Formats: sequence, structure tokens, C-alpha cells
Amino acid sequence: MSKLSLRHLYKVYPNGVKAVNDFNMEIEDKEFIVFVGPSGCGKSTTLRMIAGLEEITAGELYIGDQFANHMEPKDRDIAMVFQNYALYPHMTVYENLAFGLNLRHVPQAEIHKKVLWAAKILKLEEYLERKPKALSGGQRQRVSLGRAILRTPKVFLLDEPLSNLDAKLRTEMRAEIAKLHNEIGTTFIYVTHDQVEAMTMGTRIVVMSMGYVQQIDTPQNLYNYPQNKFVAGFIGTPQMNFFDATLLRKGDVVEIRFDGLDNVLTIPFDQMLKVRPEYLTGDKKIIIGLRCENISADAKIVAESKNIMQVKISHFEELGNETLIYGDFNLDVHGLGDSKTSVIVKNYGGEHSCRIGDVINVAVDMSKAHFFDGTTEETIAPRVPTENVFDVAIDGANISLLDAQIALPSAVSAQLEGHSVANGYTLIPTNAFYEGGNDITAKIVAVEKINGQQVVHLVNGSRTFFMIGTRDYEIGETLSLGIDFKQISLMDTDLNVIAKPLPEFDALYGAYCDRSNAVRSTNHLCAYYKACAEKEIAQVRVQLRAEQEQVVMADSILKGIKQAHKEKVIAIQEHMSYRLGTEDLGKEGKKKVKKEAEKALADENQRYLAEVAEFKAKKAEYNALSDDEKAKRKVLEQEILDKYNAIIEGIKAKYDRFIELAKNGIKQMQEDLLPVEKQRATQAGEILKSVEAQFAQAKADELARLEQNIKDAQQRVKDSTGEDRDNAIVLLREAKRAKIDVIAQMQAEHNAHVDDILFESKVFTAYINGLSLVTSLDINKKIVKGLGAQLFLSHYRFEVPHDAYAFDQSGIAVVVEEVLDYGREQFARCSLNGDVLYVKVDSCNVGETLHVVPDIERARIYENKFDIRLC
Amino acid sequence: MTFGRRKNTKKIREGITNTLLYIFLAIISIVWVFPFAYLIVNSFRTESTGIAGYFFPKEWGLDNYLYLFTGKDSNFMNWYTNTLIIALVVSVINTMITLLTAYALSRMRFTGRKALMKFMLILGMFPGFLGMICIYHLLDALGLVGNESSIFGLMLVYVSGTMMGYMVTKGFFDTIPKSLDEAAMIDGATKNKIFWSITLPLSKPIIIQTLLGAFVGPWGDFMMASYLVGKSGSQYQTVAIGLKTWIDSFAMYDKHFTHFCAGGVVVSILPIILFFLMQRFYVEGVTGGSVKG
Repeated sequence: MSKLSLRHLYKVYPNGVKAVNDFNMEIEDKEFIVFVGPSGCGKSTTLRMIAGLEEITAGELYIGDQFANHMEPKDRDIAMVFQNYALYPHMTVYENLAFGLNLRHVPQAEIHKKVLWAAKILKLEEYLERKPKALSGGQRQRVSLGRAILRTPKVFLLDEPLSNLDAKLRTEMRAEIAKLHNEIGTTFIYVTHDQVEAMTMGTRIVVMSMGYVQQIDTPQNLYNYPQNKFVAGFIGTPQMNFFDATLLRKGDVVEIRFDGLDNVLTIPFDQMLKVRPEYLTGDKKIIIGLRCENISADAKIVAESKNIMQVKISHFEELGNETLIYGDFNLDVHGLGDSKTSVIVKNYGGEHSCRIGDVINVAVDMSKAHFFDGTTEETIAPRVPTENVFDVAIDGANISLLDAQIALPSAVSAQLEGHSVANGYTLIPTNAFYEGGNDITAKIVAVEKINGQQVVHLVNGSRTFFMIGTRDYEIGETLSLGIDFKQISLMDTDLNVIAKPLPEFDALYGAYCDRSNAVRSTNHLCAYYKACAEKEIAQVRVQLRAEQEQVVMADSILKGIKQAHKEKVIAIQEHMSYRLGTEDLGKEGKKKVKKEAEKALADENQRYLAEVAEFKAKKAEYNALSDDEKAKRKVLEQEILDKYNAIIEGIKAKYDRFIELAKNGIKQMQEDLLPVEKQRATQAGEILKSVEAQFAQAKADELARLEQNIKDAQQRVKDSTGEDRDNAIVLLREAKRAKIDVIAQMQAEHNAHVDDILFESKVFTAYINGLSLVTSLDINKKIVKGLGAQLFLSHYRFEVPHDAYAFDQSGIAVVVEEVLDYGREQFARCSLNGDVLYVKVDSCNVGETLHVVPDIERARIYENKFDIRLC
Repeated sequence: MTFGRRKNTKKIREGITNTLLYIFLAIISIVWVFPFAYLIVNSFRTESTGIAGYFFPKEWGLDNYLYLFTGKDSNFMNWYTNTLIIALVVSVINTMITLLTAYALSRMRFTGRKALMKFMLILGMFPGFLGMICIYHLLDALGLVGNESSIFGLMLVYVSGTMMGYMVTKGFFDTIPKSLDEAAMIDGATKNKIFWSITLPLSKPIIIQTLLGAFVGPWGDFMMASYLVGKSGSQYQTVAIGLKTWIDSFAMYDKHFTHFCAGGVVVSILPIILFFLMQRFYVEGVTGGSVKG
């Protein structure tokens, strides 16, 4: 019975395939968590990582309060039920159940009692002497469940336990497992690909796809507030209806137009407040999700509704109490083909008077509709909104927002360059409001608590907006709010951004190592810099080619086209083999993937040939030019070449400088670390001495006690007769075993303690641009535990908040290029060898050199190669 | 009509094919069985001890067998015991090594695993006698050639290359579901425990197969034995070498040919009994019911 904590868990296979990405979750005691998703989404891998059957590439796993990444499965105190039961075929049901307890040296009498208890709960009493071969599927799965519950584990893991059973048994077992959870009150983690199982059993559900967690929420919330199209489509049967559409705001209403249809539905703007404005312009593609129960064919509802559509019926599914009507909004579509406007309507009552081919009116409840972005497929109206959008009039250095006139700080107004926009927009993040400012006032009308966050609904005039709350609020309270201007952005009428917010973090790159591995780690970092340079240069060359093409038709362009084609072909092939290798596709699926790849290859080939033909045509055109013209073009080309060569040289120089900084600093770093290392080693030595002494004493005491126990037991055996003697012998045996077990346990604990002390004495450093920063134990633990020995072969990204810099002469030298004044705060935009840093300052001048020391404790640290977040 | 005729032709064609096949098989089986029949029949011939120009003996009896065990100048009992000891010891050790190697290669993932497997496969393709001279000199240096302790040398030779034969066993282990190991791991079993209480009980067929293979190898081996114990004293030899001394020359031939045949029969009895005894373990479906197939 305990909590489980999964922090930034990653599983990366040696071939670079990421099976699980940044899995973050806190699982409370006694929860029933379900991992659900299509096959190959990483749900089983995650479960196996929790079980200890799969190694964790990066991240931390805590079972209870114990760090469990490297624990043996048997020490994790978990039990697992496998999809294929995994019963020991050569043992009877009884032996199967007792196996785990026998291994843990539980006394036979107790084992017997427990086995009978489990057998009773699972109705297996009659089958105890049978071998698994003689059991049915359901019985086998029950034995497997019994084996797990016998041990009263902390966490109960079930890996698709019902997928090998038939439908009826599955429903029965589903109920039984839910009952079991209630009875034994342990944390359950259940993996399934069946959304019905997930919805009926879980207290919380984790929806996964392609190795990423899509959403973690209660079944009800998943159903009502899906975060993206995948979750929306995966949860609920029949599947949600999806339509391509556009939204257009007209004053207080928003018009909805379906692609390929003439109907216009409306929804009040009030219900669309959480939607960002760029989606309301009428030209951005969105996807509308409508569940079939929100589309009604009921005559009464249709009569009252404003949003009426026509459906041409293609077929029915009668389920007794209700009927599913399959049809299409597009009345010109014939047959059952899957068109983009096909729709399923649920009609309660089960009786209907229409026939296939009929056109009926249906009422669409748009207030229950879900809206997703057309390309990212993420919801465009999240429950916890991240931003508010306001209409603003921008006038040079002022904006009029709602009822207030607000003067922009110079850092924002400078970006506007005196622009005036009458109908502009501003995007203010929900966490960019602070109390006690005097930019706007607003009244609280509601406070929503969602997943531990408070969404405060505020009203100013007729406009509702949101902020993230930080304290307890009273409804009706009036807040005087300030706006954190470094987070806002301004847009003109056409939604072009004219003032950008300050990025949240500065990215610094570096190595993380100890003294002895400094050279090795730095080499990896330098290799990374070289790769970066090559990548950037390649990008520049693409641009160069594009410009060159405008002027002359050099043969190098053809080479470039060929190269790009080759890379594309390789990419397609790799993608195919990746899918074949990682996904569980089956024969048909494999064929399909291969076919898709062939199609992609054919398309690519066609594109390539077209491009080559185009080039050749242009080349002919160029060849036909007069010599004078050609000479002119040559001069132009030279100019372009010179320009780009300069850029390429600049990139090279920049990374060469980074490499130089890294290489030159190694010696200094090692010198810096040596004294710290020595000091910690002496400290650790002293601690170890006392710990060893204490342990030796404790061990001796314990040994004496245990030996005394054995002696007593021996005496009792001598003194007693008959049945008493038998009992005494059992006790003696237990006493002897206790001696071995207890001492082994003590020794193991002691060893772990010593390891901890030794680890704490180790000195690690974040090595950034020649500056070495000794990291805290907390960070060391996270990185070392997270990455293991891999850590020296990696390079890291440190994302530092702008206010986490200290100024010290030993720090990284950066040159101030601009001072940004945001009213409350000032930031210096600094150049670090071509990269940009924003440093919070009290005051400084342009051109000044600052020496900054980033506070690593406050930074987010990422492993850079696989983009793994470590802390 | 057409249909009927077609059916007829098919039948005739099948009949002809079958007849030809059976004739062919009969010839093959005669060729194959004849030496055995000849050996057995000759072992019961008592009218002379030399080679005879006819198949069926004129007088039948057990004299030859009696000679094996009671004959004054017969060391057959010694040879038999020596061979039995070698075969038993080698078969037990070999089986152990093979099982452990195969288990490790089937269940554990370590660096160089695939390379090691390929290496062993390629190494196994070279015939054993390529190393003969090497082995001879090595064992000679150890003092294990042509003397009373040569049988230890023989054991060493038989045991040393065993793990090369991991392939079949590994193939079998691969068929035992990995989830059984995982279930046991979670139940609290160590790798050692899993091997002994889960994997081995499920591997009876392959254990028997390995055991028999490892027994029969040394039991009938002539090549290695010939140069390691060939020069040992007669009582320190194995059956293959010992029996060979009875047909080394024409003089011996005349004196011992029927004894040799009787010896051959006696030698083959033990493996035959073993095969019959162990055969019942070759039952299928040992893993039935453990996992959903």
C-alpha cells in the first residue's frame, strides 16, 4: 500500500527509438490507474519499467519513498499479472499460488492459510490440485490474480489481463477485478488497449500514444474535456464524429461552417472565451468533434433547436434501447464510403420510422462540441486556459485594454516602433496577472478548481477573462490587477505579432561531469558543437542555393537537389523500418506499412524528377542569355557567394570559440574541483569511520542477541518432549534462519548507507562555457540516478530563468546589447558569443561586459542528445 | 466421363510412384540393416572364431558372449567399465555445461552475446580432428597419453568442446515463454532459482536429448580414443579401441572375429536400453497451460 511517483521517465532503446517520453505522474495510495492506448504506444513498457523488468533509461521512479530505478523486481514489493497468465505449467494450482511465499520463507502453515483464502476469494478451491493445463482461460487468469494478491504487495500491476478471454468472461472478470481492488485496497496499475475497460475500471486514466502521455484524468473528465483529437476519438463508443470546419466570430456569436457544406451553425461567443482569436477569423482550419449523443433526431428537440442539419441515412444499427443512425451531412454522398462529413447519430427509444436513403433533420448541441486545431489536433479551448485574448487599440506607447488606458513599458513600446493599430489584439497569459497592480480592475465571478490549479473567472465590463489563482478567493471580490508585460504579446489586425514576449528561459549548453571524466565529457560537448555548426551551415547552404538559383544556374544546384532527394529516400526507408521494428503490426499491417513507404518513395521520385526537369528548363533558359547578361549575373552570384561565405565563416567562428572555451577551461575546472574533492573525501572518511564503528557494535550486539535466542531454543528442545519438542524444533530452525536473515539485512542496509556516503562525497560539476559550477547533491542524485554511466557521454542543456544569475568576476563574460525596461523589472539582452541571454539587472549600460554565474539549482537540466528532462 | 478417366489416371500414377518408392526404400533398408544383421548373426556362430564365407552360421551358441566376460585373455570387462565411467562422467558434465551455456545465451543480454554465438557457430564448423595434433601434445605434456590415466585425458577432451553444442538447447529454451521467468522474478526468485525450479522442469525433453547425445558420443568414439589410449595397457582402453585390437591383424581376425561381433552387440545394448527408457520423456506439451499460445 503506497504511493508511486514517476518523474520524467524515459525509455530509449539502443537504436535510438524512444518508447516512452517524459512520463510524469504521481499515483496516490489505493488508486486504480489505467494506462490505455493503441498497441505500440509505450503503456506496457512503462508498466514493465515500474515492475523492474525493463531498465529505465532516464528519470526517477519512487515506490513509496524509495528510489526504485535499480531495485530488483523482487525487492520492489509489487505483484504482476501477465496477459498470457504465465503460470508455472509443471506445478499444480496450489504450488503456483504458494511459489512466491515459499521463496520468501513464509512458514508452511501460513502459506496454507493464505492459499486457501485466495482460492476462496477467487473461487478456485476445487481446482487447487489441478495443473494449469486442465483449467479454462478464465480460471487460469484467476490463478494468476491469486498468485498476485497472496503476497499483499504495495502495488498491483496488471498487463492486459483480460485480452485473452472471450467477451462474456471479460465482462465478468472486469467486475471481479474491480471488486478485488475494493477488497484489498492496494494501488492498482492496469494496462489495456480497450477503452471500455479503462473507462469502467479506472479512478484515473492515462491515455498514451506514440510514447507520449496524451492526457491523465478521471474517466469523466477524459470524456468531457479531451485535450486533443486522439483522446477524443479514443474514448467513447461509438467514436466521436469529426468534421473539418472553420470558425468566424461575428460580434457576440461565432459562426461555424463545415467544409464542403453550406450550413452555418452558431454558438454564443460567451462559450468560446477560452478559444484563441486566430481560430475565430474564418480561415484557420479546425476540427469539430461531436459525440453522437449530442446530435439528436428527436422531433421535439429538433423543433426547439436553432442548429439544425440534414442527414442522409446510409444504414442503422439497432441496439434495443437505442438506435445508431449512420449517415452523412452531405446529401450528395452515396453508399457507405467514409466521407469527411459522415456522421453517427444516437436515437434513444430504439424506434424509428425512417428508411435507408431518407433525409432527416437533426439538432446539433454545439455547446457540447469539442474544437481542435486542424494541424496539431490539440484542443483550442483548454480547460485551464493558458492565455487570454483581448481586443486592444494600440497607440504608440499606450494601449486601451477593456476600460483602461495602460502605458506600455519601454521594452514593449520600443518593439512597436510607433505603430498605431486601432483593432489589434493582445495575448496575456493567465499567469501574467499579479494582484496589487493598477493596470485593470476586475470582479471575480467564479473560481474553478481543475487538477490542483485554480482558474479564476474575472469580469471587467461585459468581458470575462481568466487568471491562475494563487490564494483563496471570494466570489464577488474586486481585484486590482497588474500585468506582467514581459509575458504579453501584441498583434495587429491581421494577427501579425508586433511585440513579442520575453522567452521564459535562456538556454546554455554544457557538460556535466566529475574531475576524472572532464576530458571525456568535454570531448562529447565539442563534438556536439561541431555537429551544430555543420547543421547550421547546411541550412545556410540551402538558402544560398535558393538565392543562387535566382541568378545563375550552377551545376552545384543540381547536386543539391540530388543530395536532398537521397536524404529524403533514406528518411522514408528508415521511417518504414522503424515502424516495422517497433510497432506490433501483424502481417496485414506490415504489408500496409510497406505499401505506404512504396507510395511515398514513388511520390518522392516524381517530385525529384519534376524538380530536375524544372532545373534543366531554367538552365536552358539561362544558357540562351547573351554573354553580357551572363557576365552580369556572374558578378551578382559572386556577391551572393561572398555574403553567404561570410555567414558560414561567422558560424564556424562562433562554434570554434565555444569549443575553445570548453577546451581551455578544463585545466582550471580540474584545479577548482580538486580542493572541494579533497575536503569532501576527508569529511566522508571521518563519517565512514564512525559509521563503520557504530555498525560493528550494532552487529555484534545483534549477533549476541540472536545467538542467545538460538541457545535458548536449543535448551527448550532439550527440555521438552512430544509435541512440544516438535514445536521447539520449528522455533529453533526459525531462530537459526533469523540469524542469517537479520545479519544479511543489516549488512545490506549498511552497505547501502556506505554507498550513499561515498556518493555524497563525490563532486560533480556543470561545465558551461569554461565555467565550472559544483552541483548540489540533489541534482547529482537526479542526473546520476537518471542516466547512470551514460552521463559522461552526453551533453546538456541548462535552461536558466532570467533572474537566476549572480554577478561575479569569475563568471561567463557577456556583452550587454540592449537594456529592456519592463516597468517592474529590467533585463539586459546580452550576447554570449552570438547566442542571446536575457539577464535580470537593476541597472546597466549598453556595451558593458557582465560576468554572470547562472544558478544551476534553479535551472531545468536536459540531456541534449535525446532531449531528456532530468530536473 | 472425362472426370472418371482423369481420376483413374491419377490413381494409376500414384500406384506406380508408390511402388517405385517402396522398392527404393526396401533396397536402402537392406543395405542399412545388413551390417547389423551380419554382426548379430555372427556373434552367435560357434563353429569357428574366424571370418566365414556364408551368412547363416552352422552352429548357434552363446560361446562368444561367454568368452567376452570369462575368457582368460579377454579384457572386455575392463574396457566396458572404462567406457562406461567415461561416458557417464562426460555426459553429466556436458549436459550441465550445455544447459548453462544455452540458458545464458537464451535469457541474458550481455555485450558480445551475438558475436559469441556466431563465433561458436563458426568454430563448431571445423571438424574436431583438426586439433588432434595440438591436443595430443598438450595432453602428452600433462602426462595423459598412453598410460593408465589416459581415460582422464579422454574425459577432458570430450568435455572441453561441449558448449559449442548449445544451439539446439538454446532453441528449446527460447520457446519457454519469457513471461514465466518474469513472473518468477517478481515472485522473488533469483536467476539461479528460476533456472532450477522453472526452466529445468520444463526442459525434460531437451535435457534427455542432451544427455543421450553426450553419452553416446564418448561411448562409441574411436578417433580421439585411438591416439590417447591406443598405446595404454590393454586394461586401460575403451571398448572401441579394445575391440579394434581383436581385428588388427589376420592372426587376430581368425582368433577373435566372432568375439568382436559379440562385443559389438553388447556395446550397442546399453544405448538402446537408454533410448527406450528415456523415450517417454519426449512427450509433447510439457508447457501446456502455462501461457495462452
